[in-house]
Formats: sequence, structure tokens, C-alpha cells
Amino acid sequence: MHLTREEERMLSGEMGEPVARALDVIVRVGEALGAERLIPISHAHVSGASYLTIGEPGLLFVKNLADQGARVRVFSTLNPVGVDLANPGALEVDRGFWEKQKMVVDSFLRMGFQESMTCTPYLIRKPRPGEHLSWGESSAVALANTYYGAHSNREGGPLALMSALTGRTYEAGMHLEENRLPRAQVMLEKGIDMGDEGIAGAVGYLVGEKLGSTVPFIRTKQPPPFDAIRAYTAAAGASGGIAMSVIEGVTPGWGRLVEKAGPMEKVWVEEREVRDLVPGEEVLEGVDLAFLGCPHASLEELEDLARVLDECGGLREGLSFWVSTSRHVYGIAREMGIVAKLEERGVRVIRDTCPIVSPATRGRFRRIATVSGKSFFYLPRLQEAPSVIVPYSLLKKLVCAKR
Amino acid sequence: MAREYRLRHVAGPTPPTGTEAELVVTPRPVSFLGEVEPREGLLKRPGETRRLGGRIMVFPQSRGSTVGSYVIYALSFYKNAPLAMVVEKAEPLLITGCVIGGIPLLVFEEKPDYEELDRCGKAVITRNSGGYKMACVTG
Repeated sequence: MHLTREEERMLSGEMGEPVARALDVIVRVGEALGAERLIPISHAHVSGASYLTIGEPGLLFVKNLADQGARVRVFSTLNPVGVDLANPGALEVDRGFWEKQKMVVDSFLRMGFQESMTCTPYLIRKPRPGEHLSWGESSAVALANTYYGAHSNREGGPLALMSALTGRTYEAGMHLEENRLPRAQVMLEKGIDMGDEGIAGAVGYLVGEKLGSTVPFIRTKQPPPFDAIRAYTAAAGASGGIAMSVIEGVTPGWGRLVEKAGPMEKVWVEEREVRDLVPGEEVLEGVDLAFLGCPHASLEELEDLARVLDECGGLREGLSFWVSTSRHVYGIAREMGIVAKLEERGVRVIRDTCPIVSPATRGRFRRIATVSGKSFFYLPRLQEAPSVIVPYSLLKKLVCAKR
Repeated sequence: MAREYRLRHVAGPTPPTGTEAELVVTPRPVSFLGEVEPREGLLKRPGETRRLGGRIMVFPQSRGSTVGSYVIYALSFYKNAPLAMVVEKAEPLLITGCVIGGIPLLVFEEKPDYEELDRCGKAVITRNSGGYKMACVTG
């Protein structure tokens, strides 16, 4: 691997032990992927901030770096944690967990990370087409590549952290155009509505299972709305390893990428398969938690939910409703009066965390309804919670009080 | 095992020649977050619970959360690391996990037959000219 003089100095330990170690890891990973050089990045985003998912080994890993005086060299953001840091009473979490979680967060903040605690770093700093990022968080990576046309691999949390400390990543994978060309065309059967977040998530779930880590090309009559694209990319990065999709009319330069790709293998997604994942009204029976905000809810989603609840006059009895979002979006929604409106209607609005990565979810619910295909993948695996996907079109039916 | 599989070492330490261990073979991609429990050292998913420590783990590729790298690191931390991982496709989060966890990561040079490998039970990895090979241990 060719290193610049500055990178050689980093590696030699001249800039401190953590920088040397960080660069060494990036070089090793880059060499494994055939990279010939490193490239500067403009934004690092690290996953693995919840003590629930990284545990004691992860805590010690990041704490050691902070104790050694490691500092970020670029704009760096942090994924959701396991608690609502701004409102300790929002979720029931035991004291031991709270203290461990604080140690993880303090370590990242000491290194100079933004207090973002969100899986939606693109809402804090919008990626530019063609810019190089080193991001963890599979849903954000896939959106950066698919929607913003920026370049990031699905970096493991620790690698993104090493990039934060050096301002570098290796030049391989999604940073090279040849790897961004679509290799399979997804044929959506008529009647599959990619405009509905719930359905788009189910399609993502199926594409991830069918295609593994290929770059798919998706044609749609009408470009799906932003939140539906988020739902799709998040699910495809959970059930599969999809770092990027090329969506007609959405992905910057999609026409060029498709033309360069040439003929592609075709993969079908049938309406029946989507219906198996999103069965409809009958599954709403027995649901005691409804959840919106995976990835973290956007302002538009919060506004929409407030409107739905306004129309129907409030939440159904016996149903809890949790919304998770970033403190960034929460702040704007509070200014606009949306948070108060939601809370008045009985919705619990949580910041900095979500039901997937918080210990507060475990063992508390019989059945969780979510519009998110990504949650549908992780809730049973991480929280042992049976879950169902609801299409957005049925949300009203699910949450509204019967009259 | 009828045939020998040619392997290429991509990351982590090189496996000592003659590494012999039980195989844990799964034909489905693995999400380390949610499907691997590092403290117990188990691959855990519906209808499938397998111990990973000291074994050779064979699977097509990783999938899912990028927190997976920390889970792989945690396997090593809790002394439950497999002796080696052998995959068809090595994606960044898997490579990073193996680099910081110190686990040999190898890639198949040709499409493996998972059923055949599963029947094999135990295998040995040896160095040969320019690469590695994995063969079934019989008897």
C-alpha cells in the first residue's frame, strides 16, 4: 500500500499511539480488500455506541482509546445509545446499565465526537455526491450511497472510529465506481407500493435476503418519498449486506451507472412474498406496542403521526406507542409544538436511543407492531420480541381509539 | 470430504499450518449482531444453536449491522473465538472484526458445497504453494 508522508508519520507513532494503531487497522483492512492507497474523508460516523450491543469488550475498547488521549481529526458523529440521555425517566433502565452507558458516551465525547446519538447522521450533515465518508450504521451507509450519491463502505463500528481518529479510509469497495454499478435488476410485481414505508421496508427485507451484497437496480414508476427510501435501504442492510441500491430517478447519476453496467440478471419480488411479511389487519390483534422511528424518525414522520392522531382523537386503549428520534430532530419538533401534541395523545417520544438497542424493551411486550422492516429483523433477534410489519396505510387503524 | 478446498488468507493472523478443528457450517449469511452471542460463544438462530469457540466457522458471508465487528471482537475477548473463519465473500465489517479480534479469515477460491462440508465434521487447514487448503479429517 502506498502511504503519503503524513500517513507514514501517523503510522510511525509520531502523532501518538492511538493514531498509529488506528492507521494500522485501516491499512490492514484496506490491504485485505485490495486497496492501493488511503483517501481523506469528510465525515466519520460510528456505530456501536449502545452498551447493550457492544458490551464490556466494546466499552473497554473505546475507553482505552479515550484514556490514551485519542482525538477525532474530522467531523464525527455517534450512533444511538441504550438510554434517553436527555430524559433519564423516559425509559426504565437499571442503574448499572445507565452507568456503563455513560462511560461509553463519555469516552466518545472526550475524543471529540458530536453529541448526535442517532442513526440518521445525514439529517445533521447532508452528504454531497461523490464525497468520501467512513460510516458505520448499515442503514445510513446505504442511504448515503443510494440517495445522496456519496461514497461509503459498510464499515464496521471500530473501523469508522479509526477513520475518525485519522481522517482516512482505504480506497476500495464503494469508493470505486466499478463497484457501484448495479449487478441485478429487481423486478417488482405490479401492485407493490414502494411509496408506503411499511411495504418499502418489506421489499428491502426481501431484496437483502435474495441478493446478499449485490448492488441492485430498482425501477419505479414514481420515485418513492424520502422516508420510504430510508425504510427500504435500512431493511436491505439488515437482512442482507446491501451497501447501495441504484434507484431510477433517485440515485445521483443512476442513468450513467445503469448504462455502464450493461445487461443484468433479473430478480423478482412478488406481491405474495410482500404479503407474507405484511399480512394486513388480522395481525394487529394482540399488539401492545406500536413503534415508529427505525431509522430515527424524520420531522415529516413526526408531523404525519401527529396529524393521524389528531384526526382520530387519540390512541387506542391498551396500546403503547413509542417514537424514537434524534435529539436534533426532537429539538425542531419541540419548537414546532409537535412533541407536545404527540405527548398529549399518549405517545412516548424518545431521544438518543430506540427500542432495538435499549434494554428497556426486553420482556415487556407481547407483540410489537412496526412500520420498519429493519426492526422486524432485529426485534426478535435482540429483544426476543415477536413483531409484525404494518403498512403505513394501516397505521391509523392500528393506533386510533375505536369510536 | 471428497475434495479439498483451496483457500486464500485475507485478514487476521495466518492460521498455523495443520490447524485441525471441528467445523461449524452454515449455508446462510450471518448477522453477528443478533445471531451470535459472544459471552456464550454461540451462533444462535431459529433451529440452529452451535458453539463457535475453537472451531472452524464456515459460512457464505456476513450481513446486517456494522456493530457486528464489535461482536466478533467480543468473541475473542471472552475466549470464544473460532480458530478461523472461512467465507465466500469477505465484507469490510467482517474483516475489521477479524483484524481487531485476531481471528484468521480465509476465503474460498471456489464455490463450496455446504452439505458436503457439514457432513465432514472435522477439517484440517494446511499451507500449500501460494495459499491454503482445507480438507476433511477422516477416521
